Amino acid sequence: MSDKKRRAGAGAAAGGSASKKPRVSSAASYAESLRSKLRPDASILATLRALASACSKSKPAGASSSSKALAEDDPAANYIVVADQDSASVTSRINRLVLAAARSILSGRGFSFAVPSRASSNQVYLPDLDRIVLVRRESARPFANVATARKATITARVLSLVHAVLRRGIHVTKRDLFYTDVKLFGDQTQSDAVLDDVSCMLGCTRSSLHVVASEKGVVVGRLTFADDGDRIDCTRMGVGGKAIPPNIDRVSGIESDALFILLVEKDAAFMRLAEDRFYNRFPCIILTAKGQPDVATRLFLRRLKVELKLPVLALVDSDPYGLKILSVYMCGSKNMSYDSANLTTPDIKWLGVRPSDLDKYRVPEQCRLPMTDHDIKVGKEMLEEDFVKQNEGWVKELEMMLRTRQKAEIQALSSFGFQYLTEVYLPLKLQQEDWI
Amino acid sequence: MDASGDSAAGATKRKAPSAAAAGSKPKGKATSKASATAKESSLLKQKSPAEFFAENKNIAGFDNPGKSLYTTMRELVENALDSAESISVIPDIEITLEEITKNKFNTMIGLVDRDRIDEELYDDFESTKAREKRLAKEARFQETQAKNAALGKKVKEAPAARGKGRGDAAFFRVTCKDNGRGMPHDDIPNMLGRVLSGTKYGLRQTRGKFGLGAKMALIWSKMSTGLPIEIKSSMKGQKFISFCRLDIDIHKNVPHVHLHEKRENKDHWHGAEIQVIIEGNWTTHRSKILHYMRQMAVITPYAQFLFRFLSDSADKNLTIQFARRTDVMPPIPLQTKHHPSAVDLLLIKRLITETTKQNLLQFLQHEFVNISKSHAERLIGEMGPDFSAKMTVKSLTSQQLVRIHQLFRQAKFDDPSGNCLSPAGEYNLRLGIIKELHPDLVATHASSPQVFEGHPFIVEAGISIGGKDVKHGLNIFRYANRIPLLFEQGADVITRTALKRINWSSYKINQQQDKIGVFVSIVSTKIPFKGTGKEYIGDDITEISSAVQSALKQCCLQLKSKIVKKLQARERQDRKRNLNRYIPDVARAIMDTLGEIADESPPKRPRYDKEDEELLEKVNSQEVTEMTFRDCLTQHVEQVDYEMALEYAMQSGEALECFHKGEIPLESAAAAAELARDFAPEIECRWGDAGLEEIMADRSIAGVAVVLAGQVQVELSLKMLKAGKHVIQEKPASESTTEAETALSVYNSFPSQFPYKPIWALAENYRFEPAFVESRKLMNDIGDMMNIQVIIEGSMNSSNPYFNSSWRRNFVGGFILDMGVHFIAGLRMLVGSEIATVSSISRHVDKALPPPDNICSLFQLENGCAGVFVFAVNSRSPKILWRVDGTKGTVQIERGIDSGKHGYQVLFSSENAQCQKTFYPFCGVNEELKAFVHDILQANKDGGHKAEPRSSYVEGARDVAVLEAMLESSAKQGALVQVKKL
Repeated sequence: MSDKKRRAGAGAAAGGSASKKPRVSSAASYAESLRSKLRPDASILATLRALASACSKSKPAGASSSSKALAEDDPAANYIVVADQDSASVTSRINRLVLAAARSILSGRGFSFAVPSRASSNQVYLPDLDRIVLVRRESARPFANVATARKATITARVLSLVHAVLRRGIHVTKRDLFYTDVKLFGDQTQSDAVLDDVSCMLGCTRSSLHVVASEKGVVVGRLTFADDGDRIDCTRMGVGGKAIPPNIDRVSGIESDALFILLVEKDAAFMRLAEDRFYNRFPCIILTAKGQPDVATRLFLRRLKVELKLPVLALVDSDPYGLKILSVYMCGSKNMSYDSANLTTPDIKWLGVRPSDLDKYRVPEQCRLPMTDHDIKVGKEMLEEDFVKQNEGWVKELEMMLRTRQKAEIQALSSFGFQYLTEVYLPLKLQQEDWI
Repeated sequence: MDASGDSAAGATKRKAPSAAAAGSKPKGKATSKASATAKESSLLKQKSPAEFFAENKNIAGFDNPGKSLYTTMRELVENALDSAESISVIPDIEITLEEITKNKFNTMIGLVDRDRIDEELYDDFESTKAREKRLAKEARFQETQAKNAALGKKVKEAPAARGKGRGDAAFFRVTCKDNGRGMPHDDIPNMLGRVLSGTKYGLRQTRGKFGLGAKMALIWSKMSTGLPIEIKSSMKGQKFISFCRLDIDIHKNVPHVHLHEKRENKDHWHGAEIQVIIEGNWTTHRSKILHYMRQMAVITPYAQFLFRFLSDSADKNLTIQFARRTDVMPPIPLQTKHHPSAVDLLLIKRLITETTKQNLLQFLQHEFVNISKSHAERLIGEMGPDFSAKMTVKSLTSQQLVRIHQLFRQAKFDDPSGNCLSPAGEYNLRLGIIKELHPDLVATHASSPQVFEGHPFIVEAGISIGGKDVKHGLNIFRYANRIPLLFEQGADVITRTALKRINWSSYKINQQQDKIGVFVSIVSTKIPFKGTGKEYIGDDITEISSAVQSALKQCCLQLKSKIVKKLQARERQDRKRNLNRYIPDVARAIMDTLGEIADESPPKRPRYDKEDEELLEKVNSQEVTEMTFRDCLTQHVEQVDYEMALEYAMQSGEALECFHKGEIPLESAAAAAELARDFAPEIECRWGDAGLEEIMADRSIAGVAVVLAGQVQVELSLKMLKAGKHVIQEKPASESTTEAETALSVYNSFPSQFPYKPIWALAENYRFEPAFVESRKLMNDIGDMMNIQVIIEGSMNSSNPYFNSSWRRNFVGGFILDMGVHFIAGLRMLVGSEIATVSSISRHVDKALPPPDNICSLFQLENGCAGVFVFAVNSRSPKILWRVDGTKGTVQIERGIDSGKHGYQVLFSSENAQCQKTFYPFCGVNEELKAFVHDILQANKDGGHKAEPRSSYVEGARDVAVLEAMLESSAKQGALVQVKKL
């Protein structure tokens, strides 16, 4: 079945190239001329296989080195690192907190929670671990202080709600949690923030609290896994793809014959790839979080990377945000720095669209956008980020972007035809191993 | 009055009504206009000054009838003020505006009122068509009114039926009566009937602008009504009242007297009353006139104004009394000589013609300020070879005068002093603002005299927040030489400074929302007015604008601290409510979870601590419920709030002390008073130094409590003791033993002027805590003392409310001394023996705390027993414990909580291994206050009464001595130190 599809795809590609008319401009004709540079798929696949096998071999070494770094530094002392925990141990931790608070109240001293500070000044990038971590610094959240009374109350309430959820062995979304006491929480950002606080206090991941975000990310491609026991074949998920389960615990039995994972920034590009059955031409798993990645998608990507040991290639916009999104996958976000160990997937290759591609593929001027002042500010900040500095290639690309003051979205390639992305750009990139 | 009638000034005024004077006074524009008229009629005509002003009446503020009414009134009021102030009498001024209808006016002048015959002749004639239209419109309006009324809507006022055209002229009789100097009988016609004659032409700070005063009003009355003015006047001690009715011959600039006679003065009245009938417009200038009166009342709080408006319709009538608030009047501005850098060529010439001095040296030395004899000699030397000190001043050529003028402009002179100025006074300004606006907050500032172009000036500023009849945003009150400026506000230096150069928000003032009153008064020998009407001060003189800005900033700074304190007070008030709001949520959350934990069957759930298990059992047995948590939390909030309130009161004590140093942070003290009202609703407050004096002088007050920052308590206590008050003072007794010793020797050296010796007691004294009183008794049962342990692990960190009072952090010896006196008092009370020697090591670990914050001390009592004293100011696990081991038993006192009450747990273990536990809640403060009151009562009955020794100041000083010895020892790396004996 997949063979048939692949043939159909190749046929379409061939048809597409044949039907191209010579009316196109010089840039477009150049872009078309690149098509001729494409070697047969088989040879590209060979390249990819080499990549995959290199990755699966080098991976154990990388994994062990990173875990070694953890052990040596004893990060628990200086940094807050949360871990997945079963509901029994989370429950007992909550019990202890609540009992202590209750006794404190009964003795007339009110109560206070020691909450790790998640302020941005407290979040540092550790080059050794190659991710953002949260420095251990606790601040008291006493009830009898106007500044913290409300937060202390919300914390007590969230603890009690999480306790109830865990005891019943169910999962709820952040939204569910918020709606249990709208009056107290005010708006969802508050209950969400306290939920993160609670994770830090208890030293467990947010999913261990059985509170999940609603689904955001989708996956499609050469992947099968069991979601809560149901077998899912991601090649049969249509164009929309399979929603990534918010609760990673439900996922088991991951199997795949893919050669790489393709991380896509946007929904539009994802749809193009899915509709063109790109994964059938080049066996891969295609993943998107539709913009800024949520926890579930990041967990899922990490899980795939760890279990399948596949290389991860990223297709993002050629603007500072594309890189920012990449950084969140790789090094974690400041907001979730306490859980960076579980959420980050290091060693993602930046496939495209890179600033250098704009000229290389002669993307027409009308498809490039001038960078706004804000873009440039963000870009300059990114240059200062340690994780960018670590990769020389990235620094060069970013400097180029800032120099030309131009940005472009993945969709800029559509100016050469809607399927240019899947038929020419990506295959050529893969063939040339043009990733950094 | 314009004419204060002294002969010296008379000399100057005689030459005034000449064409030259008229030409030099007004601005160039006016002169050119005059010359233009001269050209038109080739015939050379002379114009009298009166004529000139009659034609250019807008210069003097008589632009239109409304403005003329306003200007007439203000000229009369300002003259009246000047007149009263010139004889140092507190002004009492009555102003009456009486509206005279046209009919009445006609009768007055003997004109018969005629009815209109030819209606169409008149401007406001209404054609039949127009009339129908109007009636229809009115009918429609009434219809909608009725509808609205039926629907219960607010009924709109009927639109004022405005007549078409100019309408009738309105006439007013303006009367102004004062209690000033009055005028000499014979001078009255000239003083009022001749323009540009006056007494205000000397160089001094004056209210007037042109020196026209009432004369312009007279010209205006002549122009608009043709009626003469009436003057009644009497001088102090004069047996008669001069009555004069006159008008002015504008062309000749001479008075035209109708009647000039002496009348009886039965009431020994002195002052003047001027009555003038003019055309005016009350409707358009009503608010200006009232504003003027109000602003005048602000800047002149020592004057009393009675303003009346009378008319035929009673509902328009108005009587406003601006009451006097003070008797303190600014001094009369002094006449001064010119400053050399402020004179022009013409002025030099004039001074030379007028001077009585013969030679140049004397002329320079005596006709100018800031030129001494030697300075004058140097100046003459600098002028050139053709000048000499002895040369006759009147013989100087005009070239030589130019040379002098040039040198004056280039040479350096000392700035003129502000002595000749008479500012309103910061106090008067503040009083005026408070009296007229009743603001919530007010701050004032007076600058020191400054100089522009050789003229001294003083800026006084006030800013008020809130108040009645104040708009939101900036309300600017401008004063020049103590008269309000009402017109042409936009370009004025004060307005522009307030709007553009003050960043209100940085002083926590909201420029849009707050009701801000900005008051700036500038006084000078020359106000640099701008514009023809002299209604505003230009923004181009940097000296003035920066002086205004800095004065306003000073006020803002004062306000900022008050506003911040106010915000804090409000926050404190909200605190309890805010906290209580969350109690039910917390109680529910905790209880829900506890319930679930308790529900789990014991084998399944993990084991908890004993105390946790106990708690869960209580939950199961419903001994602990949601309500229990609510109650405990409510109590806790109550407790924290109480502590904060106490702390607040302490800070207010600081504020009281600040007041001694000249600042006025009354608000926090006021907040303390509010707090006190919770306990004693009838409490009376005394403020500031004066309040303190009052308290000291009040014989009915027998005792006072001094609760202030540690650094200043002793001084105030002694002051009170000296006044014969019994004093209970907050601990610590003193900052050092030296201070205590000095204080005690002062205390003991007081002459025995009272039948009793004033008691000096120390509060917050552990010697009254029942735990220590009872333990002291138990000590008899433990046999010989073997060793003593005192362990203090405090919890003084930045979240502790006491930490935030700055005086504690700046206190010598840090918290060790401030907190430590309690524990040493407890120790000395418990062991009943004095500490003889100590040896200690101290450390500074927590850098957020003042050093030292840890001390370990070995001590020996006079009875030989040794012990350790370990004190950590801030510890994670607070613990406070005294323990004495004896041969037969042990006594231990430990800080703890029992059934929600803080206090001390006393543990006594005796020989037979029995352990006796008793809990004593805190109540030492109540006990010591009881003892203090008891002592006062006894002392007043019996002069020889011995006060309760436990509360005596010397005991507290001994506590300080022990800690001081410990700190001293630690400074010497643990060397043995003898405790000072007191």
